[in-house]
This record gives sequence, C-alpha cells and structure tokens, in this order.
Amino acid sequence: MTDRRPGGAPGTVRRRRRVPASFLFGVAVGTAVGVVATLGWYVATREESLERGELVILSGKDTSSGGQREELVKLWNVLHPQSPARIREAPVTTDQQHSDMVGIAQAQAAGAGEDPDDEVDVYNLDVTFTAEFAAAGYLRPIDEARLAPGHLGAFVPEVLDSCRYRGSLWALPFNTDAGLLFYRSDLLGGGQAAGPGGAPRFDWDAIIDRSAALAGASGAAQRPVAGYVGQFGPYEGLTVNGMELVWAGGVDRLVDETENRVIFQRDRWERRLRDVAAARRTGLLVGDAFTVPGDEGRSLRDFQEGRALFMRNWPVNYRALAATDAAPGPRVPFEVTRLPGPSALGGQNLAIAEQSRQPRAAQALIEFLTRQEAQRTLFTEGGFAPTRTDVYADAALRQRFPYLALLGEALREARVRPRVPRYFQFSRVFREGVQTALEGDGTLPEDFEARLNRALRGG
Amino acid sequence: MLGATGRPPQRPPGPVPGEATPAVAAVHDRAGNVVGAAFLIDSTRLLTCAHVVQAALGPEPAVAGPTDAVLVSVTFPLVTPGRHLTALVLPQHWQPGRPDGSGDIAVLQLVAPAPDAARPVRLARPGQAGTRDRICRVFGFPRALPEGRWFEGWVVGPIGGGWIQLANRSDSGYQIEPGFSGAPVWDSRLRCVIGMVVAVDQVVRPQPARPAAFMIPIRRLPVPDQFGRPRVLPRWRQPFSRWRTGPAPGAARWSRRVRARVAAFLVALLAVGLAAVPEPLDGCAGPVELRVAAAPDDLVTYQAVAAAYESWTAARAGGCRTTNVFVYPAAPREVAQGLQLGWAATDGDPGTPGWYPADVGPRPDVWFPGAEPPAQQVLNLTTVRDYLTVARSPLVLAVPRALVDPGRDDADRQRSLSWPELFAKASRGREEAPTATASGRRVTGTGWQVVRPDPAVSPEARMVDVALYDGAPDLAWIRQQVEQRLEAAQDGRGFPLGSLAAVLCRQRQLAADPAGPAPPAVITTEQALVQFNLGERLGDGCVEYGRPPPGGALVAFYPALTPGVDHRMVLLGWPDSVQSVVARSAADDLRRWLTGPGRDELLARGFRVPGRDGAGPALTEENGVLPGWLLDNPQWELVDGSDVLALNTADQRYREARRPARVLLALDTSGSMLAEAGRGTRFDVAVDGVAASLRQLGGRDEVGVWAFSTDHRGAEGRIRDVGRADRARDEALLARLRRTVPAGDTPLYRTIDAATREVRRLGGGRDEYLRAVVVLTDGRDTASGGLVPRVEGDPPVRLYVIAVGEASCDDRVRTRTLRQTARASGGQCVQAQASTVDRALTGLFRQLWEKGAGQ
Repeated sequence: MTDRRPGGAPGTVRRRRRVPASFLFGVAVGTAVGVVATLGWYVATREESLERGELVILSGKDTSSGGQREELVKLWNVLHPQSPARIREAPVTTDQQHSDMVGIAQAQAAGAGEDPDDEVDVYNLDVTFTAEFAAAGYLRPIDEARLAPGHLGAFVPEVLDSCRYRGSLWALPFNTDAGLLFYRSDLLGGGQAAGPGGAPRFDWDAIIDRSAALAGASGAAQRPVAGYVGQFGPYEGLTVNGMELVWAGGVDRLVDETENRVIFQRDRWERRLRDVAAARRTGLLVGDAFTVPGDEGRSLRDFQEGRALFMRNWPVNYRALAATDAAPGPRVPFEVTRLPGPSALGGQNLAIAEQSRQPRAAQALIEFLTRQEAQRTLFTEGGFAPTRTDVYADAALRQRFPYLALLGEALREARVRPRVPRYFQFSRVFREGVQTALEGDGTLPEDFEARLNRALRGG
Repeated sequence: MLGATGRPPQRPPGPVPGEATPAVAAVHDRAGNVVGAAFLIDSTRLLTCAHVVQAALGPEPAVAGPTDAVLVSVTFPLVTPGRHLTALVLPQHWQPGRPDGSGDIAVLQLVAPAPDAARPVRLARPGQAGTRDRICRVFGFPRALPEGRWFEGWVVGPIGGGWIQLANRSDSGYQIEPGFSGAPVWDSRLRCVIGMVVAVDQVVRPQPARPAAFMIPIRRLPVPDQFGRPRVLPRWRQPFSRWRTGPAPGAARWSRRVRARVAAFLVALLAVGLAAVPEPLDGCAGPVELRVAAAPDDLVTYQAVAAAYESWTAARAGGCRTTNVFVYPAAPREVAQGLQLGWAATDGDPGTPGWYPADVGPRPDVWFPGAEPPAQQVLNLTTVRDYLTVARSPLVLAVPRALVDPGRDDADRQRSLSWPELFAKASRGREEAPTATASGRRVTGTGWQVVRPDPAVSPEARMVDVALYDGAPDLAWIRQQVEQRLEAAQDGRGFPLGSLAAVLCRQRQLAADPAGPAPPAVITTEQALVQFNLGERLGDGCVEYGRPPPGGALVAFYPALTPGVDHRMVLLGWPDSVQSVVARSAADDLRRWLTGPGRDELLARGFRVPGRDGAGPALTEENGVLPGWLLDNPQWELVDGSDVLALNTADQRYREARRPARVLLALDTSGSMLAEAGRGTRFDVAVDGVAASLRQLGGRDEVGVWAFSTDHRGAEGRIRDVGRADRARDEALLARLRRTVPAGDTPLYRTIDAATREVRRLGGGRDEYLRAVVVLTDGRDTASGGLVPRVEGDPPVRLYVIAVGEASCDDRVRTRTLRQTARASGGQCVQAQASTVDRALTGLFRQLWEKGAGQ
C-alpha cells in the first residue's frame, strides 16, 4: 500500500474510485423491490391450504337408501381430518326446507353467530332457491380458478346453468332430475315418430288423440279411465306441470330474468292449456286431478294399476314400476320416452355460505361431493340422478339402468324454472292461474301478467 | 336512396335500448324465406354475415365492386313483423369469408327509414368481449322460423381465426343454427352486443346433439366510425365510439357548457333515482322469513290469518311484502318436546316424538298451540319469550239444522240447560224417561245422538268431560249415561277416535250424503262450527270442503256454563345463529297486529276476541251461532285449558269409564320389510314400535299379534293370541319378532279380512270393547287373489293401516281406496316414513289403549 505522506508527489497517490451514492441507492431500492415483489408473488400464488375446523352442511333430510350423502361425507372426513364435515338436517318437504333455510340464512347474514359450530358453511339448495339466496347475498360465488381442470366442463351444461344467476356461478349441481313420459306399451305400440334415441315420441296432439281413442270412463271395462296422469295437486308439482305445458306451446322463456319481468304471450301460453282443458272433460285427466294430494305418488299408483295411458313422472319411478316384491317385471307393460315438450329441471345445488369462515375448505368439499365417483355412488346406491356427463356416458351404467340414456337426453332439453329472487311467490301465483285455466276452458286469468309481475317484484 | 353521408332521418327520441331485440332484423331470400339475421348499428345501417347475403341472393353473383347496387329484403319481426324493407349491400364494406376464418362480414344500408320502434344496438368496448363464462343471448331464426327464437348460452373462449366459441344453456331450448348467422350476441350483464354469430360447427363431435357455435367478436367488426360519422339518433350516441377510434368529427361541437349541463343533469337524475327508487331492479327488498308452527286442526285458520297479516304489511310498505309468514302443521306435543330439546334431537328413541327439525318442521319463531295450552314447565323455558291469549271460543253442542224443531228447542239454545242436561236431551231416545233439570223442568230426549272428539288427542274433549261429568253420582253412571252413549254414536256412524277436525270432517261426509240419515250432534267449539258451516277446510287432514246442505248445517246450543278454549300465541327466542333479530322483531309485529287491527281477521274466522265485545261478521244466526250470547252471559266460562286439576280429575274418570280396547296387530313380514330405514331395517323399526306400544297397554286392554306374508302357512302367523298384558308373553313375543327374517309376498287384503273376522269371533258384548285391527304394511297387496276384505259388520271393528314405503293409503280395494275403507270403519290410514314408523305405531296405540288415554 502506498504511504500517504503529506506533500508527497501527487503521482505516487492513487485516487480512490468512488461509486455514486445514487447508484447505490438505486441498487438498494431495486433489491428491496425485488425481494418484496418475490415474496408478494410467492404469497399471492402459493397454494393455500384448506382452513381447519368443522364444516356444516345444511341439507334436507337424506331419505335415500342407506343415507348415501352421509356416507360420502364420512369419506371426506377420512380424507380431510383437519376439515371434517357434518350434515345438519333441514326438513324433508321443499316448502318447509325453504322456510328453515331462509330463516337460518337471514340469521347468519346478520353475523350474530358467536359459535363457529353453529355456522353453516354449505347450503344444499333446491334449484329453485339458488337465485333467491344469491340475490339476497347469502352465498359466496364459486371460485372457478380453484376448481380442478375440467371439473366444470364435466357437468351437463343445462344442469350447471341452474347454478348461475346474473352471470356468476353460485353453486355446483349435486343431483338433478328431468321428467319423463311413461306410456302403456301394450296399448300404444309403434307408429309414432321416433325420437333421436329411437324411442317413440308423443306430442300433445298425439297424447290427446290416443287418449280419446283408448281411454275414458266409457267403453271396454279394461281400458284405462284416464289418458294422462301428472302432478296437478296444489303444490310445486302443478307449477312444474303447468310450465311444461306452456313450454310445449312454443314458449321459450317465461321470465326475462335480467329485467325481472314476465314475458307473457297469452296465445302461446294458453295454446296447450286450452287443448288439455278441452280434452280433460273427455277423460284426458282423472276427475280429481287438482285435489290433494295430486302428486308423484298418486300418479304413479294410477299408472301402476292400469288406470292411465300416459304418465308424466320423474325417472326414479322407473325402478318402482319395473320391480315389485311380487315378481320381477312390470305389472303393467310400459315404456318410457321424453315428454312432449321440454321438462322442468329439478335437483339440488351445493353453495358456499357467504359468512363461512372456511370458504376454501367448503368449496373443496363441494367439489369432492360433485366428482364423478361421488355422483356414481349417489346414483347407483341412492337413486339420485347424476349431474355429470361422464356418468351418463358410462356404458356399464347405461346397461344396468336402461332409462339413464333417456334421462341424459331429457336433461339436455330440460329448462330451468325462472331464476328470480321471488320464485316462491311467482310459483304460487303461476300455479293458481294454471289451475284456473285447466279447470275452465284454458283461459288464464285476465290480470295474470300483472299478478305475476307483482309477485316477481315481491309485492 | 340515402347515401353514406346523407342526413339522418328524424324520429322521436327514444331511450338507449336495454336489449338487442329492437335492432334484430331477418334477412329474406327472393322467395321470402328467412336465411339469416342482421342488426341495426345506427339509424340506417345493419351488420350481417356475407354468407347470409349470399344465401339471400341465391345463385346471383356476390357483390363485386363499389358500383354494384345489390339489394336484399329485411324485416324487423319483433318491431314490425311482416313489413319488408329493402336494404343496399354496401360494396365498400363487403368482406366475403376467407379460408383463414377472417371476413364474412357485410354492411346493409336501409333504403327507407327503419321502423320507429327499431333501435340500434349498444356495442361493447373491445376487450369486453371474449371473457369466458359470460352469459349471452341471441335472437335468431332457426329452421327458417320467421318469428324467431331465443338462444341463451355463454361465451366459452377464443379459437383460432379470431372467432369466439359459444355454448348452449338449458332454458333456451334452441341451439345456434344457420338461421342465427348475422344475429347480435347480447351480453346480459354488460347489456351490450359483444359479437355477431357467424358459424356453427359442422363436425359432429364431441356431442352430436349440440355442435359448437361461433361469433365474430366486436373488435373485428366494422363499427360506425370506421365508415364515416355514425348516423346517430337524436339524443342517442353509440357508446364508447370515441374511445374506440378517437373523437368523432362532430365531438368538437360539444362545448364545455353543454358538457356541464349534461353532467349536472346526470347528477340530478342520480340523486332523484336514489331518493325515489331504492330498489330499482327487483322492486322490493327481500321479506323477513317468519316460521310459524300451528296445531294441525287450526292450520287453515292460521294460514288465512297469516295471509291477512302479509297483505297488511305489504299495504304499509307501498305494496312490498315485508314478511313472509310460513305456517306449518305441528302437533302441540311435538312442539313442546322440541322446545325442551332445543329443536335439535336426532336420535330415534321412540320416546322422542320426532327428529328436529327434519321430521317436525322448521324451528318456529311463533307457535300457535291451538286449544292445547302448553304446560307451565314449557312456558317457563328460556326459549319462550312471551305468550298471550289472542282468541277464544266456547264449547257448544252443534246440532244439524234438520234435527232442530224451533218450537221445541229454541228455548234450550241459550243457557237454559247445563251440559249434562243438554247432553241428556240430545243423547236419550224419545222413548226414554224424561230428565229432570235443576230448575225442576222435565226434558224429553230427542234421539239426536252425540259424538265427541277423542279425549286422548283432543283438548276440547278433555274440557267438555269436566262439564259432562259434573254432578255424576259414580263411575257406573258416567259409563252408562255418558260414555256408552258416545261410543254407540261413534261406532254407529263410523266416527274416528280423532281430533275435533277429524270428527267434523266425518260429519261433513255424512251431511253431504243425501241418502243417509241425519248425522248426530257434535261437541265442538263455536269457531269450528262456523268454519264447518262456511265450508272452510278443516285441519290439515281433511280433504272435503264446501258448505253443507241446509239441513246439514250446524246450530249451536249454548249450555249455562261451558268450557272455553283459549288460543294462545307463543313467541319463541333462539340463538342468534339460527334466528335473526329481524325475525324476532317481525314476530313482535305480528303480535301487535293480532292484538290490534288483526283482531278483525280473528273475528272473521269465527273467534271471540278478548277486549272486543262485538261479534264479527262470521258470528251470525245464519252461520248457526247467537252473536249476542257473550254480552248476555259474561260469566260463561266453566273451565279453561289451564285448569290442570279439573282436567286431570276428568281424565282419570274417563279412563276408568271408557271401554277397554281389543286390538289385533298384523305386521307385514314380506321381503320388502328388509329395506333400510335409517335405524336398521323397516322391520326393526316396526318392532321397536311394537315394544313401545306394549308398554302402554292398559290393565283391561287386550292385544294379539300376527305376522303376515306368503311365507306363513295360511298367510299369517299368529304369534301372540289376543289377551291382556303379560310381561313374560310380551318378552317372548318381542324376542321372536327380533329373530324373524322377513320374506315372501304381501297378502294384505286377505290378512285384513281374516283379522277382522278373528276380532269379531272372540265375542263379548257389542259395547264391551273398542275393537280394532291395526295393520302395518310396506307394500301393495300382491297375494290375495282378488279378495275384497269385509270390514263392515257387527260388532263394529275399526281398521287402522300404517302404510310405509311402497304401500299407500290411496291403493284401491276394488272401488274404494284403503283410506276410504279405513275411514268408513271409523279407523284411519296413516302414511308414515319408514324411519319413523315406530312413532306412528305408538301414536296410534296411545289413542286405543286406556293407559295411553291419560298420557
């Protein structure tokens, strides 16, 4: 090192190189920014684990054989011991379920729950509840980015559609349903226009004509007393059957869901109602079709005991018709095909409660319950119609359950009942009007449109 | 013809369209068939696909150069259906489809002005289109339907060539087909057009029924600014047009002052909107849900009261329903137990009336227990916030009008006789000796006969027993003068051992039969009498409704002193996690209404209302009551439901005076009873019910048990002969049942027939026993060979059926359903869930056994 002596020759003193402070400052800031950005990126993109704690599913009582939903939840608990789930049962009937769930959702929305064990994390909602719960702010949208690749795409699109409201996805479909037309194959052989699946199709004109020819109180003693049995009792079944009649008249949509207004076209709405009302008097429907119970069970028994030519019912009844404890094989010869028009879509959707403190775990649970394996089990063991296309495409299942392919077709044609926040009020007014029409000459009440709109607005 | 720079046609100002339909046009070919769609993008120009134009032109050569004047015909089916307009294909914007997927765009210029109601669409900004999972709607013309159809779907994502793929959704019913080409794709959320339908996939995989459809996104379409200044409508501007291509030439004319005015106007509009329309989209805010449990007999009454309250709140809130009152039926005993269990029981212990809330109903915010007053220990629960009496009704003797002789009977209608005297008048025959009254009068019997609800299930009957037994010298007198007479009337006319509503329901059936003899007199409340005469529905289990014929209408006879039924309202409080504060507040509001303006509704339902001396519109002579009775007789109340001591004394006397039961229980042991029922098989749950029922057996009651299926020789196995309680025998019976493996088919009707004959065969005096056959089955009859069971006969045997699983009360026995057959015998058919069949069984035996009658 050079001795630095005062007064020494300048040539002997090496000048120190100085790094500009601004450069150092820039490096420091750059490094800091880099570190922060890296950490931030890591935090933002790392896979977040599922929240710990118990998940509560609020669901209507499971009446399936062997409690298959409960079994699936047990399986989840084995796989996810840190986030176990339990089913909290709500009443069985849809209207009681609705009241109970809305009451609890309103309580939870107030945020007053202190005990996490009392908090609902997942609602198992009837398809008709979903819009109401979403509009009221009781639900948290599904985080589609967190779903496994291809999970959404595997659902039957029409069924998945029942989970959407105003452009967002609020739930995943747990089970579904679409109506089918059962008919007496011994009395109604061939001669019909074949549908895509090879099954004969009957439109309303054919049903009415065949009923007039082959059914009714007069005539041979063995002939069915009614042409057609459906669900016309004073409950949601009448709404479903009424909507299907209106759709069969060439109506595409009942309600403009964006504007929350009914799209009323009297001529088209009344077209099939008039046909059925006119044919009712000549034996198309059973005499007390509109009385209690007028439900699925009642129509099944009428058909089962040979009192009807056609029956509109849900596919689960295929099993009841095809097997009795007397002997294998149907009591009355029957076949099944699609309804004369689109069916109303039934089923239930799983949604995350807005107040849930475990939204990631809740969504993972929902995804688990809607996976292919779960849907297969729920169908084969519990009789719940699956929501995924891959289950419908399963060749082994199609062979074991002959109506599965037909159900898949019917689902693709099925329509969601209006996804509006006041569906229950709308439904009540709608079915009252349909009953008036069918018991009369098919004319809907004069102020029907105004009453429906008032119901949609919550009046 | 207007040129590209011509003056825009004038038309009345209109709002910016909220949807694309006023802009959609159908493009027709020379024969008038619809070949595709187009849509209005300004006042005179439409956008469509080049291939649609080519289809419209047919074999003519496509547009070649700027001088060619090629015309096509269009209509606006949603605005002016049937009115054809001519449009020029603008050659400068002609872009035929190219192999790389680009092009296939044409611009049409209307020769005549567009219809008044037609409106150009609102176009999206570039970048807004193409987002996945965006809901969209398209109005097009599938299968050449000139009126058009809707497609509804969502945007799936971009594919090569700049197109965007669309997917179908369920409530449209239509898929994209060639007739949709040229139609605007409307984004429901953005409320603007995001593209134009251009093609549908011809490849038939992966889903042959639903080929993929495609649109050209808005950023690839020519927009008004690209071919000159847009022909805007007055007060209508193409949104975002400046953003897209820079300021339009006319934009400079917007002075600062104009902008300021527009801004001020918008601010004012917003302020007014916020103040005047708080919920513009849905109209009303969501209603508060109020869950109300009501006694099954009063369900219809309280549903009507609830509907009136909803209307009242809606009127107060400018037409918006603020409260949704859901009223459901729940037996008071089950609600009381549920309150003690915190509404959260889930076990299947037969001692627990039900699973809460799954089997009983939603957790109630309000409870109307009807005539049954809740026990004090229930009212002391912390869950009970408050309770009060909202309505009351006296017990009366209701006599069919056809039986009443005004000259003889009118004097006895009001307070001239006590209950025992009135009962004697009604139940004794004319040939019997007259009865001396306390006032020394001698009253001759009328032979009307009297029926009463079953004290085991009816609080009204328990209360009237206090009055009927008043002054009775001994038990034998009660047996002979009261109970035997009641039993004879019940048996003779097939009245059920049921609630007041069930008894009145049977009365309604008898009254409606013009060929039958006049029905007997009924012990009822004044309010239920009015409901009967008005033809209202009676409880949740009665199908029949409608006014009775004039002779069948009931007339009230008022004893001097009579029990009164108080209808209470119980307000319930639950933890905040299951009951919102607003629900509690709504319950309080309902209480205020019921004690204020809502009293009129209670009066209209036939109640007397505390604090209101006047009778309501339903309490009229025409409806069979004496409206002024209360004013004439202010001290009318002999006893009410809260007088526990008097009621218990009467219950004890009733148990001792009633006839014992002789019951044959037939259990289905067919193979289907092996089906799972949640707590074991259906048969396991049924055996639990048998065990619990045997524990309720009274000292004088007799029971026998059969098992039936085709596995047994002769269809049934007699595993316990009819006899009194015997612990050792019962233990052996249960052990044998638990070892039984169900198998075989269901000879249901054959069993009913044989069991009925067996009960009759056992002998005993006609009035000596309450005879019944109880059948528990889970399947339809499959092995009786067309046999029709004979239930009617003497002595009367009541048939009770508990139908589980595939079995149904609506199954037919030749011309009548199982329900009708059971009801005609005075019995009942109950549809039960497999998991709770034990509850149904114990509930039934509670009515039949004398021990159960007091519980």
